Amino acid sequence: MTQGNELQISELKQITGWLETAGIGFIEIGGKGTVVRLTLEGQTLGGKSAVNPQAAPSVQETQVIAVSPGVLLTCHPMRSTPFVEPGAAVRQGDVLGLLRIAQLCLPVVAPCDGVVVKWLVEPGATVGYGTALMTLAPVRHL
Amino acid sequence: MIEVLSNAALATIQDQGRQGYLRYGVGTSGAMDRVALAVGNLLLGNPDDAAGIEIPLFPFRVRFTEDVAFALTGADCSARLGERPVLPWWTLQAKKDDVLTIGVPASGARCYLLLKGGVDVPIVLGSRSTQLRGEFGGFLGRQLQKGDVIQAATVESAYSEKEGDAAGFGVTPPSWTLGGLETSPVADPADTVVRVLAAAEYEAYEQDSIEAFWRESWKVTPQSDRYGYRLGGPVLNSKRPVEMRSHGIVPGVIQVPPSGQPIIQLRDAQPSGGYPKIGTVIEADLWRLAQARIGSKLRFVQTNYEEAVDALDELDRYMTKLRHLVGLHRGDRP
Repeated sequence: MTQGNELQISELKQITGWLETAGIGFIEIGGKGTVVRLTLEGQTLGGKSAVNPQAAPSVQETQVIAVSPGVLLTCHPMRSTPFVEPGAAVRQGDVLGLLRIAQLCLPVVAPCDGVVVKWLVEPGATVGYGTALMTLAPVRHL
Repeated sequence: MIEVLSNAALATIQDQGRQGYLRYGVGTSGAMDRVALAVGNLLLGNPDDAAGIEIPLFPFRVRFTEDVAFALTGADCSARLGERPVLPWWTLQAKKDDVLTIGVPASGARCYLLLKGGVDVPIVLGSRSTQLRGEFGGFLGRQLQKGDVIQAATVESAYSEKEGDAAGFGVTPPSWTLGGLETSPVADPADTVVRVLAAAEYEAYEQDSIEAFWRESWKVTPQSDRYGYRLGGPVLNSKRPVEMRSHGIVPGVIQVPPSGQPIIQLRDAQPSGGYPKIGTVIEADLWRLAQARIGSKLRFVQTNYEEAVDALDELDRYMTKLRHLVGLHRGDRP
């Protein structure tokens, strides 16, 4: 939102899209005595909304997006085998990995049915809200 | 709320234990792995004194007769809710008619199944724990059986499950956070290491026996359960026969009967015994012992009173931090 330019509705939509994928309820942008507050109402945090709105439908791949910051774990801390391997078919709602915040573990959930292409982030890396974590290909393509 | 579908041998309702009645001859009972039970209650936002189900034999299957949130902690049992895997140290929402299958553990020995609100059984002498010897407390004073229907206390659902929460959440296990303990000589990674205080009759043992006690690994024999673990290893010899009157004992005490093969008294132990005591596993490490499987090996590390108290403080800090983290997570999705 460059100064002097009008804010486009499409930009607002983009911001609300980011908020929704990141699981954030509202955002305030302030400066020079003005505050703009965007609040998501009746939002569906996480779940299906964890599809990157930027994912290009033409390539028909889905990016799995971090809905929380955290350390990416591709295996459960008690186990040595990963949740999923590249090539594995997954169903919507399957746990693909974990985002660990101190001792808390939040699931990285498959937003749709698909086939695991690859992790986009190294296991053990610290990621922020909205980071693309994994690429899923449509089931019929493999 | 849940119906037991398997022959649930030895599964019992347990809470943090029945405190204050040892003097009357009533043992503490309570969860063998109190940390696992406590963490499960934290995950669900239950009161600290809520009771859960301790499961030592697998597979264990239940059907939910109502929608309810549950948590699984303790041993990693590759559990499934319907077809979907349930991670260890995890909480999830179950729907009416879902079947939860808790499989044979890949690691650990006891799994805890907790329900939102806690298992609703009467409080007897200040606790919901099953007192098997006295046949009171818990579910009709006995272990669970196929066909039993267990109710959870009703709670106002302040925490409405949203679609995004369908996959639940969890925590890292305490072994991950608190780590293993060092031994000399170095223990096999598969061994369970616990810290031990020398007890009243420690000095009565031959030097060779005392050295062996700290140096050797001790097999958890099949004669091991909630009452106590009978261990197999080198024979411990006292300098002269030790004869004692019965005296009070607590969970964790390591007795040496005339066979020279030690017994660790645990949650369902009688509150008194007459065997000499060579040591005591510290309270802060009893959860580690609870997850040692039959056939696995134990190692003892000598500690002192100050370190034993510090270890309890460390456990407290761990629980406080978890409570804070889980509270933030549950709170930010009201």
